[in-house]
Amino acid sequence: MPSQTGSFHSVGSPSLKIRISGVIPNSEREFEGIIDTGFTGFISMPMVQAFPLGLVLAGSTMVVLADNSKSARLTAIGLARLENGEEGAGLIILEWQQGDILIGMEFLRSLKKGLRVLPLSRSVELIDDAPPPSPPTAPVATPPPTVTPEVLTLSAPPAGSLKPSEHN
Amino acid sequence: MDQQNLSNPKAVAEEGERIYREKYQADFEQKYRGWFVLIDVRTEKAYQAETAPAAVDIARKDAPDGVFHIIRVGEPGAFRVSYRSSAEPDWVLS
Repeated sequence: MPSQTGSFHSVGSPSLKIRISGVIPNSEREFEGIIDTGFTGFISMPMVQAFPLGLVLAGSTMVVLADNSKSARLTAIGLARLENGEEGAGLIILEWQQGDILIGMEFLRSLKKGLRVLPLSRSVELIDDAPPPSPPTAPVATPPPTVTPEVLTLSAPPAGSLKPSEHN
Repeated sequence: MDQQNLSNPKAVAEEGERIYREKYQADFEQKYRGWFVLIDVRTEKAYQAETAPAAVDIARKDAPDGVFHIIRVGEPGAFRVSYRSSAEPDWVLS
């Protein structure tokens, strides 16, 4: 059973309703974010929507854009919550321009969710995900018993114990 | 770094990248590949953890007034985005 069902944004991208909050009490608000699997971060949102939430500024960072150019951004720590109450904290990238809120792969990873995209029925489902079970550990090979080679000592017989062969 | 530049994300980012490159990169790429590092551009100290929120926590406890730049060890940027931003030219580095 999915944790949450989303829909398709007007432009045809899968989207999901999430609630984002910062440190200001009762500042939590619901947003519709586009799920962007090409975005490695947690959430990206315009500054003007982030400031009223009281997100704690974390610092600057570099993001690599689709054409491999780099661009500086401000980041903040925020909390994101699903409709069922599951939540996770992460680094939110602040965009200075108005635009869509993006939900990235780190969001799915931190909430341990997978994504099922159903373009014909125009819905998306967040499903529980877990790391694959670790492979069974191979039995520790016991070393073969150590065999001490017998040392054969050939010692010279006592003098006089051997008689010279008699050859007739 | 002077006070005026501390509010300019591009200047903070460039300073953070310089400090990281000169003081930490060689060592961290051996030990902490894929981890997140916060560089305090005022003290040049580094705070590292496996996740970004954990690194921010460590850094904020030690330097509540720090001005940080966030780096992912071994990556050209801390994050990748799939769109080509129509970024303000002043903030685009290359």
